[in-house]
Amino acid sequence: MNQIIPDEALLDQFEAYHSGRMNTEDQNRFANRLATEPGFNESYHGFLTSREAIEIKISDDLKAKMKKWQKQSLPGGLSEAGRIRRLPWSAWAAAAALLFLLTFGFIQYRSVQSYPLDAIDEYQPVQALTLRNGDQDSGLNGIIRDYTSEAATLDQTISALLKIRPETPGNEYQKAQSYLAKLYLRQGLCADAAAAYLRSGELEGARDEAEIGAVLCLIREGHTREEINGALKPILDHPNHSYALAAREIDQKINGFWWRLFK
Amino acid sequence: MAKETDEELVNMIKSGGPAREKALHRIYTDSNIREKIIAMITNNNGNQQDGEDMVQEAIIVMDKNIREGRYRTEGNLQSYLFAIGKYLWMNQLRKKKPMLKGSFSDLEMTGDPDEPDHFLLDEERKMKLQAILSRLGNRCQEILSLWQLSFSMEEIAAQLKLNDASTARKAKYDCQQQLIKLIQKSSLTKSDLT
Repeated sequence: MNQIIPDEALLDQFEAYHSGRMNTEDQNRFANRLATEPGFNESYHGFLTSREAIEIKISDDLKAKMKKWQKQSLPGGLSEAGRIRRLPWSAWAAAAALLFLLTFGFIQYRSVQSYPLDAIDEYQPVQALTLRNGDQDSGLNGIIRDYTSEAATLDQTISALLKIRPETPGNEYQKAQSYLAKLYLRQGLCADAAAAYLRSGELEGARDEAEIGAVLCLIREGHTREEINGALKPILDHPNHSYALAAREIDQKINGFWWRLFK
Repeated sequence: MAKETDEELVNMIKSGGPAREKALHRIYTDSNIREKIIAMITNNNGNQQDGEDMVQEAIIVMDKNIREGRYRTEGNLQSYLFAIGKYLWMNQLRKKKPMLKGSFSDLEMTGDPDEPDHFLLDEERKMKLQAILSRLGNRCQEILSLWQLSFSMEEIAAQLKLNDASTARKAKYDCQQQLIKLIQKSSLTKSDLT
């Protein structure tokens, strides 16, 4: 069959016939050609098919535009909003419970992570003595006051405390060692802290401080619960221990659910 | 801004060009039409997304029918769109779940005035036409689709940054001939035509 590739004039005729813009006479002539000339007929159907193909492109373009309009005119898309509105109450309840659990869990996680330093601050605080009118401030108290008021750094404070010699009159040296032990704890220098606690040994309650200091050191260094429990035991076994209450609190903390989960 | 009447919307679509796009935007963003179709789909084995898809498909069919003069002025656009959406969904359900054939009698359309078979293009044929189109090139596709949407040659020239209307006209003829040649070379013979 001889297919005709339509020229511009024939394409105009096809358009006119297809859109019904031909007069009756031309329309009849055109219909006659369609019926009698297979090549012409094939060519016209090629034209119709080309319109059909372009219609696919038009549909695809319109679909893409509607997706764009959906985003622009219907923020979030009606479908999204619809889906949210149609969530059953149980899904909302589950989502709320999950959110609560996550928030609570996160708070507990932060609490577990910050506990070593928080516990040192709570159970082995570094505080200067408050002077009353007429009291003479000691050199040691001045050093500690500078530290707590942040006039001196931790390292500067340790250096100053180390200058207080054993031969210093009174118990300044032992008190200095006690402070040193607490500062070493904050630095995570457990061996130094233990030695300093030992040197403060003649002070009242120094043994108790050394024992709680050992517990705090193990926590600070991230030791296992079993090791920390081992250090807590001598304190828990003595109800009159100065740090018995602190030991019970620490015991509850490190043997609790959140500590087990996050450590 | 005053809301256009159905008749005005139909005329805007028929006139093509930017007016058509404005009318289609107006119809698409009409929450009444959307919600009605989506509710019908969600009440008949579909979900929200099926509903959204069906709204779009129905508008595409409506647009084509109006442009090709198959839309009749009786009734209103909303019920026309709803009828198309219903018909399309019914067909889709039948394809997906043939066993449900008898279970959605409430969806059956009675005496549809718009020859619903026109709504659907055979998938295989559509794929063949898409393959042909892809060989035509984007610029030609753009020119021919603007032409088919009744854009004037001046508008086509402006939109595609061509020198003038006569350049656009020449380009349109070239593209049309190119497409017809591709169709004639393809396996889409006359016997494939509906």
